[in-house]
Amino acid sequence: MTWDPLLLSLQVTSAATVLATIVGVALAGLMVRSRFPGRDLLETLLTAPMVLPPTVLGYYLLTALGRTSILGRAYESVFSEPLVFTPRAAVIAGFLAALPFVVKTTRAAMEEVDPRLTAAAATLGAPPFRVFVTIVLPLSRSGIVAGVTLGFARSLGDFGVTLMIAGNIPGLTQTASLAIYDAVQANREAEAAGLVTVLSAFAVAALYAGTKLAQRKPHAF
Amino acid sequence: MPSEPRLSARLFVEGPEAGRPRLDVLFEGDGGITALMGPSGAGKTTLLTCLAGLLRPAHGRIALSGEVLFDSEASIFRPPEERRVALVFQSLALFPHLSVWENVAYGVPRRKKSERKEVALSWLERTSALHLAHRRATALSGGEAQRVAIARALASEPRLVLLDEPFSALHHELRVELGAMLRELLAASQLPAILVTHDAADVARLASRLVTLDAGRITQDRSVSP
Repeated sequence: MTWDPLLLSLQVTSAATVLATIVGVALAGLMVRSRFPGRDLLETLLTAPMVLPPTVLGYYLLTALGRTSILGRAYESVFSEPLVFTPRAAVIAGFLAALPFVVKTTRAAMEEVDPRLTAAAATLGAPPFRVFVTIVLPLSRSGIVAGVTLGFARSLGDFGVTLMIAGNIPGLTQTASLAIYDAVQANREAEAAGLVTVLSAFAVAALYAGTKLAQRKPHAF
Repeated sequence: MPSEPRLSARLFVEGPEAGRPRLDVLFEGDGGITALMGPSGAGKTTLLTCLAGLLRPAHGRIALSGEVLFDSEASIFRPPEERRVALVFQSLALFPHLSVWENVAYGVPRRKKSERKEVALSWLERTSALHLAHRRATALSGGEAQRVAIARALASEPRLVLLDEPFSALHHELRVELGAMLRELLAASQLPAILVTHDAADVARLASRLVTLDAGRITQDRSVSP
């Protein structure tokens, strides 16, 4: 059995989770701190990957990022290679899988922060960005950690969207969950069982660590 | 021409029903502690949040120390972080994830962290709370938290201090002690302050002026001897 798919899965999922954390926390902060029109529509769109069939989402992404699309051509002119069917496409799939979890739990946690604390910080001279960084972020830390671990676990297991836009190319875009499918199809029982075990262990460990970290509340009210 | 008072605020805040504003006042003040009394829902907290910049009145004008903080006709609205108006909440609103000294240092207008800490410690000393400096803000008794909240407000170098029933949760002896401390600190820095209270004894001990609000309007405004 080869470890390549697992290593690729970890690389892709780590990159996807880092991206989803940065984008997700920023978006959640925007949604909580400013009441712009279309806020709920934005959240609905961001959450859609949780419920859309992976083939549908994959189809949209292929249309938006494929070699003939505007974005796809722009990417190709900059990086001199196509975006789809590369490990980076797998990162995009993992990012979209993780993002809704990060946004939803982070937004919920940020809305729990006592508005009197942010008001007090403002009257003490702190502009909105400083209030966000020094008060809102630390006080919603446990929610962010929970969202990020959920997102990581979900991203690690992504199958459909990755298959649609990154393909199933061994050694290039074949992540662990795709390799399991191949192994089962080809009756490589031992390889499938091995990957299943490791992937399960990773997902459960991530969730357990997330739960434990989230319990370490920064305050005890 | 008489000079403008230090604080001048004409405020109109709409209520849920038309024709019954939540607040409709002309409030002026110079130095000393002004006590603000009135039944709940009279608009006391609304007045404070307007002055602090946390609530934008429908129309009116606020000027503090010659600077216009709000003017609906000129479309001026200075956000709370630019007003230097400190507000001590009834709940105190200490930051639970920070230590006591970090709470006090939060609003100190200095660039270097070491300087902010130094200023914070000196204010904690003045509020007899220096021994609490390294505690978590959540690990304080009511009176201790009160001292820290006052130190935090004063350390931010405000031009006006607003206190929303800060002593309501304390027993009588502590009220007297902290009230006296507050009065001395405010007098020493010559800061004007507005103190919302339900306690006539607080007014008698601390205030030089009493303003009574009812249904959003000022019903009484007189000097009292502190």
